[in-house]
Amino acid sequence: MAEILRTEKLTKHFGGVMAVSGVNLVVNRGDIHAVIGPNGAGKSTLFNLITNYFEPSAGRVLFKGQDITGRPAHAICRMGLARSFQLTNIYPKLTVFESVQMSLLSIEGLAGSLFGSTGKLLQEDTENVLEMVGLIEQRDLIGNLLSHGDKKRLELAITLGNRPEMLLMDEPTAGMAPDETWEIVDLVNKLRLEENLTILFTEHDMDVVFEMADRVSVLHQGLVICDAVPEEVQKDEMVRECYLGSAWPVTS
Amino acid sequence: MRRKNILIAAVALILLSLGLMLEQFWLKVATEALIMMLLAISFSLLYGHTGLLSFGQGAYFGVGAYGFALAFTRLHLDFPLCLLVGVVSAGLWAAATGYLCVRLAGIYFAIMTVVVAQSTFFIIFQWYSLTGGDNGIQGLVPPDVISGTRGYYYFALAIVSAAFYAYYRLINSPFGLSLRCIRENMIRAKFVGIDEHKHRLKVFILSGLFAGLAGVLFAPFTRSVVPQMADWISSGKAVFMGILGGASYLLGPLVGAAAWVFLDAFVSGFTVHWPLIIGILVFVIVFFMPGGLMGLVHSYRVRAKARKRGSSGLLSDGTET
Amino acid sequence: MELFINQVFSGLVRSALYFLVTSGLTLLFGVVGTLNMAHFSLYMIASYLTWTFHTMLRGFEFSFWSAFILASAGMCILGWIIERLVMRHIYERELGDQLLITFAMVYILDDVTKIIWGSNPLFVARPAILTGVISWGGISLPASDIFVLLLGLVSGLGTWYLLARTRTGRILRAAYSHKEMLPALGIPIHRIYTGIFVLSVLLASIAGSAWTLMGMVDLGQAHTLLIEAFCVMVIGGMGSFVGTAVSAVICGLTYSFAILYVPKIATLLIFVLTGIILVFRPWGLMGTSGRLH
Repeated sequence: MAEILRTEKLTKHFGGVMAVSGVNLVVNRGDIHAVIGPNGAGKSTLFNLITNYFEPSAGRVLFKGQDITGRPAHAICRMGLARSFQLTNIYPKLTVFESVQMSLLSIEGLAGSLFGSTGKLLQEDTENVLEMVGLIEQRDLIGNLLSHGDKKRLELAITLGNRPEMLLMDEPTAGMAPDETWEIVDLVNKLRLEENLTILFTEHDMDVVFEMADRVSVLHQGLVICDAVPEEVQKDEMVRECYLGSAWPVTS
Repeated sequence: MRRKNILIAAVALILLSLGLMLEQFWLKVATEALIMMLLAISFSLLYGHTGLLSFGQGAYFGVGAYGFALAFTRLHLDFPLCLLVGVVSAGLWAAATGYLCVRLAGIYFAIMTVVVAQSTFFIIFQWYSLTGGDNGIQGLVPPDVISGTRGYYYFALAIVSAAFYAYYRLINSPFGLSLRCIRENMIRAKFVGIDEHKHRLKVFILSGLFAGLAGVLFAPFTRSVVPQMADWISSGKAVFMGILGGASYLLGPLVGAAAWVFLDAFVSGFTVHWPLIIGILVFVIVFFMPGGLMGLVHSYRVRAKARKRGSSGLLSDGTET
Repeated sequence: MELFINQVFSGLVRSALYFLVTSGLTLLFGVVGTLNMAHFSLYMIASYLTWTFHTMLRGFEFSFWSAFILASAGMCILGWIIERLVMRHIYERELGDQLLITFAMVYILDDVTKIIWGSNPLFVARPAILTGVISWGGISLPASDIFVLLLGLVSGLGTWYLLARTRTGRILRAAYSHKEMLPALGIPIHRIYTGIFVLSVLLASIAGSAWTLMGMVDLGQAHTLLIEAFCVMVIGGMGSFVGTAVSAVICGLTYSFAILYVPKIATLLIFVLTGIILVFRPWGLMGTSGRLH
């Protein structure tokens, strides 16, 4: 299997605190890859380093074989690496349609264009994305008025609009009701099949992780302590000891 | 759609016939209102559409006016060419100062624009050999065809209409949508591939061009230029007109500028305390009508629509007004 | 050499004025997070108020000093009123609204000043003790300038002591970093904000009174100082009290030497300096980007 993303000794410290220390992570094309770990293990920081939301203290990130360490966020995005955020991050006063259309325009290189009218540009493509995530009915509502679950969907649609090859999702089901959660899981599975997406995600719900992931990396105190298929991770002694333990029963 | 066309035709007819109906004084006021619309547009592009609060648009208004005046009196260029020189110099000055300003965010940006505006005023004021200092430059008489009050009204109407069309196209273009995304959520915008730094510089220059065009039209209108055109009181005018009309609405700056200029002309008739009135007006707008005049129209329309549908009917809050 | 020392001295006097005028602004921004654009108008009103009290007490031996104190008291009351009527309602609002409202206050305060005091420049006679010149070799230092310099030092050190060395100071710094915790600890945040605003106005007032020793009281005095004061604030790093002091000295000295060699563009030079510093340190010398939205 071909690798799409690789981090080499990726490190970040805030003052004296080591948030991520020397993480070597390889994500293969087409995989759904989960990063798990207790609170404060450095999952979100790792994501922020990969997309250069924070600048790493050391190490580098390779995407499709190219070094993207320190490249501006918009350039990384244009290369086909899109991300969503843990706290929903949408445009509060734009309509659902506009929000997604923007991503498409941006990836077509039209974001700075002074010509044409946004009313019609890429209308069909935008509607396709909305159809895919199930927001077509709400296309003219403004983002702020959506339910929490729909906001999460909208954010997913915004990232999908970028036509990414790889998607980073930070807690895609955070704060969702159980049935909403499974709708998102189904959606992500469908996306992988239809769009051939590679997905790297963090998640606190272990049911979701073991249902979705092809591969799981366990992060503990900024270090990767295990990187394997879900079944092995569940069996791994060290993981059990320092992370799953009795407080984290695996019910799947 | 048809109603919109009828409305546009009606407004055009009214504006055209005003030139024939109004007496001298009010025709001058109307001309000033038209020109000030461009200054208000310049502010609204930055604040209403991109979320950048600029207290410095007066600088480009002043540079545009002086660019015109110097080309006219020193280089003796043709009138249309002088207009062009003015607008271009405002654009260049916006590019140079904007490069510095857009590196900063939030409050730093706002303060930097104040500093730029005051400095521009200062340069014009001190560079006596070129600008004549606080004497300004006089004798900026436009060509005969448009030198009369009525002629100049129609001339301004034509230019402002064209500029308004450009503004309309601008905010409806993909670039306009990118600006609103940056306003709504800068981080999200960056992560969908928008180079926000480049976009902010671009809109800064474009808005400088609009302010410059306003200055260029204003100079032959008053036949003179003075350094005060570039100071922060002049910039404040752009701010107030913008928020009075509602800076994020398409028609906001037009309504704001018109309301402002006519109110000014009306109030000046019986009191010299116009600044006091402005100050109080801003309090009222910020606390009680945050969307400005167009915000009132918008919320009225939303409510009317809701009543018709019998639902909450909250729709897009965008710029399609 | 004498020229150099004289120039350094007059630069430091200018620095003291910059510092007095900017420190209140920095303090308010640092603790509350609000930028008061009308701060300079309050500074101007303090000058007028000093003139008024001084005129009322003409003939009285300590008229200037009494006017100084009365003006400070008057400005504190005015500051308290403005805080209750206006500022209190905008702390929680977004940046744009805060700037617009305080900007509107500039118009209101300036116009009210014009209504009360008229448009003619006014002059405050220096008290006898400050009219002299202290000479020492080729160096001559006007007593009034020495007083302004001392005033800047004392106000700066006093405020710094309050912030860094007292219990109140600890609470104020907590108000900056852990806003949401204070009510839980039983500390009334509103009273703290009122106090800080009044203190910022008091600093502006001291600057205004000091100005009456340096020049004419007029409607334009705030506007001429505005650009320089904003530059001082930005260079120092917004909200950084020590940064403001450092950059006040930098700008004051720059100004005083510029006025000697390139008098026409002295103010402009400060602006250019600001530009250069911001290119390398966008948050100023001692600021952090933490307060930015």
